[in-house]
Amino acid sequence: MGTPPSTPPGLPIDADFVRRVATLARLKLEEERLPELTEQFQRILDLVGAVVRIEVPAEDGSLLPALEIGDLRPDEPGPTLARRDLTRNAPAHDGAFLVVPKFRGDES
Amino acid sequence: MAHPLDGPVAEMARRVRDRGDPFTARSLVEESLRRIEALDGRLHAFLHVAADLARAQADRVDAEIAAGRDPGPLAGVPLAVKDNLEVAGLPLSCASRILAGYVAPRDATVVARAVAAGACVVGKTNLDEFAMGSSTENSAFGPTRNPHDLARVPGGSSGGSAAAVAARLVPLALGSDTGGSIRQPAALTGIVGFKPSYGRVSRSGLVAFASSLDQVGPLARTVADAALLHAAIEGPDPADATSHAFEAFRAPAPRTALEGLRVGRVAEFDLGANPDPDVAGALARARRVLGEAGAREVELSIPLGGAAGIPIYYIVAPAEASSNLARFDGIRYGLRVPGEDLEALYAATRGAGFGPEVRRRILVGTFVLSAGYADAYYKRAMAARRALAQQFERAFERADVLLSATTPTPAFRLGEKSSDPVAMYVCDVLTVVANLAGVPAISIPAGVSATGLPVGVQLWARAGHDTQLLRIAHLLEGRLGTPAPIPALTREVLA
Amino acid sequence: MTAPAPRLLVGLEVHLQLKTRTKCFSACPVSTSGEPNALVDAVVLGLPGALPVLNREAVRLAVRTGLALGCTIADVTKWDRKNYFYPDLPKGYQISQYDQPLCVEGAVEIQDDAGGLKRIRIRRAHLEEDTGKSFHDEQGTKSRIDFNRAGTPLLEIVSEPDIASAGEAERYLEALREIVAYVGTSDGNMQAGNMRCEPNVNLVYENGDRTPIVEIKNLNSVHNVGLAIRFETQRQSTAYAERGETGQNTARSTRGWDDVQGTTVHMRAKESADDYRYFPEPDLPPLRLTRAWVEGEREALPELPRARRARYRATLGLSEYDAGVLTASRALADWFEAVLPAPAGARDPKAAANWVSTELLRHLNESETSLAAVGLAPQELGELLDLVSTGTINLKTARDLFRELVADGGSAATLVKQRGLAQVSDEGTLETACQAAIAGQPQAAQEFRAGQEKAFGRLVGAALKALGGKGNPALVQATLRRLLAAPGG
Repeated sequence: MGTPPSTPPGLPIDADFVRRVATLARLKLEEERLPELTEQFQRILDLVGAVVRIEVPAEDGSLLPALEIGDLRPDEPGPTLARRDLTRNAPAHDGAFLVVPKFRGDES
Repeated sequence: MAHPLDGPVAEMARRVRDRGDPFTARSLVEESLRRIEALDGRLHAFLHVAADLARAQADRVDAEIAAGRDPGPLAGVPLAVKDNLEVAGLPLSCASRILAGYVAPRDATVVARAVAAGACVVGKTNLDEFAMGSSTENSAFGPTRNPHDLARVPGGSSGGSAAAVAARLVPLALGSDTGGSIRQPAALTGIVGFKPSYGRVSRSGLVAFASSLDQVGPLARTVADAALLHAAIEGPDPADATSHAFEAFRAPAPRTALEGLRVGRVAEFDLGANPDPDVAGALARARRVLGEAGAREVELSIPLGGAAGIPIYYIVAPAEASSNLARFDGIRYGLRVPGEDLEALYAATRGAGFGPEVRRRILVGTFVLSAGYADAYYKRAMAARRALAQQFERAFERADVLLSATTPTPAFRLGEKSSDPVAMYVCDVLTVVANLAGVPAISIPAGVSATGLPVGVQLWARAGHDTQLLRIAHLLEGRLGTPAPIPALTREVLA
Repeated sequence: MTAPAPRLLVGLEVHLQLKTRTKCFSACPVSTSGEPNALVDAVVLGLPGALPVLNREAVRLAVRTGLALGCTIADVTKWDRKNYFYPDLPKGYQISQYDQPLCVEGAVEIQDDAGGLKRIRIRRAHLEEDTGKSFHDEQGTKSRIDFNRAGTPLLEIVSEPDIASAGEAERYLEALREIVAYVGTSDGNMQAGNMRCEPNVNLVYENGDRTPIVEIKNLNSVHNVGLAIRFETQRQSTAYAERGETGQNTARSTRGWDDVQGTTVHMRAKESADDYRYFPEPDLPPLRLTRAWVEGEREALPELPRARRARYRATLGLSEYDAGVLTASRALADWFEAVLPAPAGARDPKAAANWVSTELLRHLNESETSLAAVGLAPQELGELLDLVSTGTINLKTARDLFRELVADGGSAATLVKQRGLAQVSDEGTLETACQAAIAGQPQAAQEFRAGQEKAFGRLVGAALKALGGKGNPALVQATLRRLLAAPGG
């Protein structure tokens, strides 16, 4: 999963790096807070970078016990959400659809 | 004469259920609401007081009893619910601006079960935003104060629930624990806080922070009270695929008496060269008391159980959080900050809606999952968790329970650590590994410091041994003789 | 001098909607119609506190499909989160499968362009949830989202780039549709939206150069898939010839099919080519599928269309064309086989095939009934066929009876008996009728004796008429010829 890191963990990071991560996370950052945030990010990475020194077992696996097919939910219809619960919490709707600023039409 | 609200939960519920006793559910709720009215202005434990709902629930309980039906073991007991758990019809804020105006459409499973057992929800309590924090200072709506010293934190993230119980506003509260968020505030406010085994209690209706670490648990004044709430809510839930029944115990059956109990002393839990004297003193006393009761100490090592747990936790928890919080995007619910286009809307909404600690953790989490880094960080941290869980399993072959401090110090002052996130993180060293390994752990009050600040001690058990852990904790609690202290400000309103 | 034509490489990524009653990760009902945002619940909308719970039937239908495609089914499978931001994706991540998919290494047999058989390998097939749908105001500044489709179970089937032409791509899609219709796991209908296809297309030249891979989106029919591949082939070879565009110097891209223009158009690359940050879904445990259960599903598979057609050709002696018509739907093939009794060979399969593929199908089309609603049972058609093959009734009578029976059902033998429809085969009666016909048509008789075969028909018609339409045509003809040939007749 993923290529080997191009920089070792904990390497000095800069504001540009933080901006790129913020873009990926869709978080608008205030530029004047960026130096402080970069410094905090660096210290957090220094803290968690210690993980590379931990010896770990080679084999993969889940922490959760596996289920069998019989444990799974049967295909029986249940209740749907009341329209009121959708509309009262929706930031913008037209009674039927949720409304957002127009965006590109390419489906992923 | 003490009000029943200050006595054991079993007793107050018994009186409510007794048709011959004039004491009603409604009277319990009214007393709770009175105390909230009198004290919460100074404490800020509650974000929302649900007086109408609580009264309606209490009236229903009283009607059930009058009709000859049994409303359950928590009949009429006022219950505070951490505001990251859904209560139908009430606001759900997670102490965040990004959920402004959001009203929950349904009850969390644990809330429904508690109410089905007769409990009455008096309100939603304050927390660190999205449960990220150890002081409740990260709430977007202002911190909660420690009832024992209003200049100090109650701990976090379940600070509101802990303060509400410690101040005797309610006898029971629900909290959530991802890295210590029930146990640490319990220790700092002098009450009991229990984190069950992972998978023991349903997470359906708990707003997810770190899905593989979160658990819902009780806060109460005594272990017996906490055990009653736990019994009402625990058990597999078809709506939570990670909840499951635990297999029958392997022989030999776990010990439930102090005599002969093997109490593990883990080297990695040691408080270090300069421990806080009150914390160290309480811990030493707990060891002595157990020894006097016939328990014997076993020295153990859990190599990943100490400081090594912090980097693992602060990779896994933010990673899962960064994904769980992606749904807060201004599209379907909550805050929407308009933007010139969709991307601007996302960035502005999330930038404005999330507080600084949440933003930091989302950034860290996004980074440790990103291409090129996921192997070194996230995947490695998850592998380390498996190693840690195995180490705990081996430890519990030689010990029945583990004993440790809950926090390195008693409650710190508001603002003392909030400027340095890393300083805050390392305080979690005694609690995060229980979540990483999925084992149950409980903090019980173990006395107060010279300045009257509570300290706690923590017991841990093997995954699945929740009932046995509660039993041992109850016995130790009895032997310690350090019940949850009553805060001075509460005494004022108890008369 | 023209360079040799490059090889076309096409890999198809197909998303099939599985026919479950509820969504992949919640009990919210699935439906094809309904008002917007009605088929939603807390899990589908990604409300805070909602958790996914896997649908057993989605797994079963996915496995059934995988087995029908010849795939190996995983012993242990798990789910992963694919993280990205998009308005129709409620949680900000899609629950999908990354490194341990449900199915791997299958194949579909199709005809290649030369008419031979070819295997298109399937790399993997995995189960994931669908997204909502967005609609964009033509004028104006708003888009609208409907989450009815969100959470519906999808099987994503990824082929190897073994497809070498637009025609092969179309046949692959038709084969997929046929297979899933046979096993009943999906309708596989692109126009209805329950099958979607994204081809990945590039060219390989003899000198080793490859054009950059293009992914094509927004295709809503098998026909358009073919058109888009043809267009891309042309566009890429031109781009290579004129601008030297190869995978070395030009990035992969995504293009959308423009149905109106009949072209693919460049789509703005998604922002920063989103890093999906796949990680195992912590809310769902892995799933272990026992070999016993998988084998049970394999045994429960019906005979698949290709195998069925091969059997019809080999053991029933039917033509490829007839086999094709009869296996167009599983229901029709089942109906046809029910006409044939055991022991095999007691009824002529070719006759049965003929009746089913002509008379029955014509009736179904003209009356617009479905096979399930037709009044005739397969065994009743069989009985009718027996009456014809034993010479009890002639074909005309049979066809008349058929028209009655398809509407009302009943027993052909009983009707024949009741109405005395049995054709006349008695020599004496035939001879009398034929003599009367000859006597009554002296002109025709004379022309026939003079060598005009055509006149014979009028004599046959007259004889049959004299017999009330119930003459055994073969015997009537033989008798007439005998009488006409006799001297002095």
